[in-house]
Amino acid sequence: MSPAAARETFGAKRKAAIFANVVLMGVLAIAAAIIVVYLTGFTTVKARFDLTRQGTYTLSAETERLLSSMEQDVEVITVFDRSRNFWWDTEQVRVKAMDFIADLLQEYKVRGSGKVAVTHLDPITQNAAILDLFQQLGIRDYNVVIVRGATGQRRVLGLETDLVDLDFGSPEPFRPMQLLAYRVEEGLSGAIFEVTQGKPAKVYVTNGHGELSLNDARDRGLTAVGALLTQDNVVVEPLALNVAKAVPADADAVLILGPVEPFLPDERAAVEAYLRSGRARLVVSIDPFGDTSLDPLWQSIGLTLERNVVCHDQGGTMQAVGASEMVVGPQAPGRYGSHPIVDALNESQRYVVLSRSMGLSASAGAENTFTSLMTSHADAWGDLPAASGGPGNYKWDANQETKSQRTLAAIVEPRGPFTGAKVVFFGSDRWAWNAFMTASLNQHARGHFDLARRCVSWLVGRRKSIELAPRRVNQVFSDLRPEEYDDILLYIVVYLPLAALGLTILVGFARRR
Amino acid sequence: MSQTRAYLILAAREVESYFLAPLMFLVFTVFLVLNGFAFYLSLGDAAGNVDLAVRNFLGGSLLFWINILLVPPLLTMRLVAEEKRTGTIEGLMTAPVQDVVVVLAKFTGALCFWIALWAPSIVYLLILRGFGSLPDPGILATSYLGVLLLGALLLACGLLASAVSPNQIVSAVLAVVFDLLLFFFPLLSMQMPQGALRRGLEHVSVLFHFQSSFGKGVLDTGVIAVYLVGTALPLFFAVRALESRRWS
Repeated sequence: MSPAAARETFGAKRKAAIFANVVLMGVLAIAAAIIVVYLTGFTTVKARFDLTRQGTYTLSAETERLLSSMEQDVEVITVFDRSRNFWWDTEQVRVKAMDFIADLLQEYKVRGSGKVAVTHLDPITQNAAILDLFQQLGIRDYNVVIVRGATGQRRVLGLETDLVDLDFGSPEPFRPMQLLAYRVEEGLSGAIFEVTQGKPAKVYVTNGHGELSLNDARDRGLTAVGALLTQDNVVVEPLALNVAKAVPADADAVLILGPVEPFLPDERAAVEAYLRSGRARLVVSIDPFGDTSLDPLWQSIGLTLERNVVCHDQGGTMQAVGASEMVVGPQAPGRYGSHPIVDALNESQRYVVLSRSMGLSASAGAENTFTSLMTSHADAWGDLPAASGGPGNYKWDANQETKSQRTLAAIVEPRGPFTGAKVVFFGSDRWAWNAFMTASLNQHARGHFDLARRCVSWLVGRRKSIELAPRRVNQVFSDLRPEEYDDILLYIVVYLPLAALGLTILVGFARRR
Repeated sequence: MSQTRAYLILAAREVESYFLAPLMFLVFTVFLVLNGFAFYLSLGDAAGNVDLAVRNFLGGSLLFWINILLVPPLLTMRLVAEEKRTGTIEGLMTAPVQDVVVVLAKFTGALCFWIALWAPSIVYLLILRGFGSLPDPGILATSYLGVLLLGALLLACGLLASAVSPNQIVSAVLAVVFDLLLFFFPLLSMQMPQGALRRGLEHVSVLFHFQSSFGKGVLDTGVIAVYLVGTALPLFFAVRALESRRWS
């Protein structure tokens, strides 16, 4: 081989060796990078530190345990409409709440080891997808967080009903909306727990007696409650007692809402048998002028329906409220009792309107536990004669009506042959009407939503999987006046760049010399 | 001469060259004006919430990302490409200095200038303090750390672009393409079904991490590792690119 050829061969070999070396080193470097990223991102080597002053993004130990023990994937979808606002929400507290929820969801996603997928749907650009989803789940309004498990279980959390406590303020007289506290972690973790580890409750709603109907979307219908419970991971089905003859064994609770026609003897027997079964869980709402055929049964568990209409002279203090409407709330004259069903309503300052409600009382000598949930004003009266079939005149008649605080809703836990039964009783069916549930975003609708859900949750024994104190987030606000904003603009956009430029030029000249 | 000493000399030379280059005066001034304006807008958008203003300013505004996308390529475009064009690279290559030292020194110079660009924004906070409100120190610390790490990552990409480009213009364009890929390629994960690939892409998403970690005041070792590894990898390939001149 000539020296030139040998040089060429040597050169080619050298190039090939260098090339192989470069490729190998490159591949090794990329592999090392992937290993490091994997180890630090997906294994226990990973650590995350919340350096914010208030530990804003630190999830509770319970949530951490829940996320680390999850075996199913969970999809969390937010549908927030940031553009719709109330003019008296001058500090945009709802938008801030939405931002906080989105931030905290990132923490869930990051700490969920890939099992939590978060999607934010935009009402403007993804409206078709949102409508599709809303139709599937019976959702009526924006500003919800939907949590879905792999097995199809779901919870729908409302911004104002489940995730934040707001003081809604008022436009007239002007009082701006205020953010009281966040319940985001409690809501989200509870929902994730339910859809991954809980089982849906089954609730039956009786029909055939003129009750509020699950298929009736008009004012006196129950479609809103049906949708609400479905979103709450509850399976809701109608129950025709005249056909079934008994309450199904898989019933976690039965709702008897607004019957106006009498129950047949077989049906009464079925309800009684259910009450005697020891597993009875009932929500009963009966209008003062509604069905009376079950009254003896209620009497036997120790509950007397007064068949009057509780009225109160509002004295002009509540202009939109009639004499027979009781506004029950923490700041209203009517009051909540002390029970898990109404405690949260009390804490979150939510109202319920009980319209045309009769009074309820414990039967004399009855053996039961009678817990008053809601009471009227201290000087209300039970207007008569409701029992004769027509409304009273809603005026106080000193001869036959006495003024005193009346119970409007109560829980009866009877003893004796009915031991084990739990009955939540309302002296009016109107609170559950669509008309009261869908008064979009007003204070009362949110109270009624909460009331319906909490009644069922308590009856079916659904406990909160995670109990967390509401989180108060204090943010630092500057109190700059408009002219101070202008000063800041001048400082940072004009003076500072000029100063920096001058300094740089000076240093440059000095160095050149 | 030890390699450490060579590194220090070369890095000092690079830093000096940044502060003496007329183009950099211009970059510096324009950057400060844009940044100042971004801060002013952020403060206004946040309706006085200073923590939110800091988050908008450092990662939550379009101006921030425009700065982030365009400034590093401007800083790095000349680093190696210009030396190649003027021929001074030959002197550097024949000097008793390892290629890795050359690359690290150039990277250090660019990073120092990057820090100098952002340092005046501390004054914004002092001004805010003068008006009686100071943002959450945790959010501030992590946000600035994020800016530093993101800058290092993009400067490393720019340095690689400069090392493989014949001139400054190509280098700058290539660096912007690298940056865009870095920002937007992981966003493909949003179109993917749940799975390892989606998780992997999400984990290397620079945009996502800035919002989910640094901007919120949360420090995540996994995120820091992504940035550090993302910085080391282009630097490694930049060294290889420099070495390749010796092979031909």
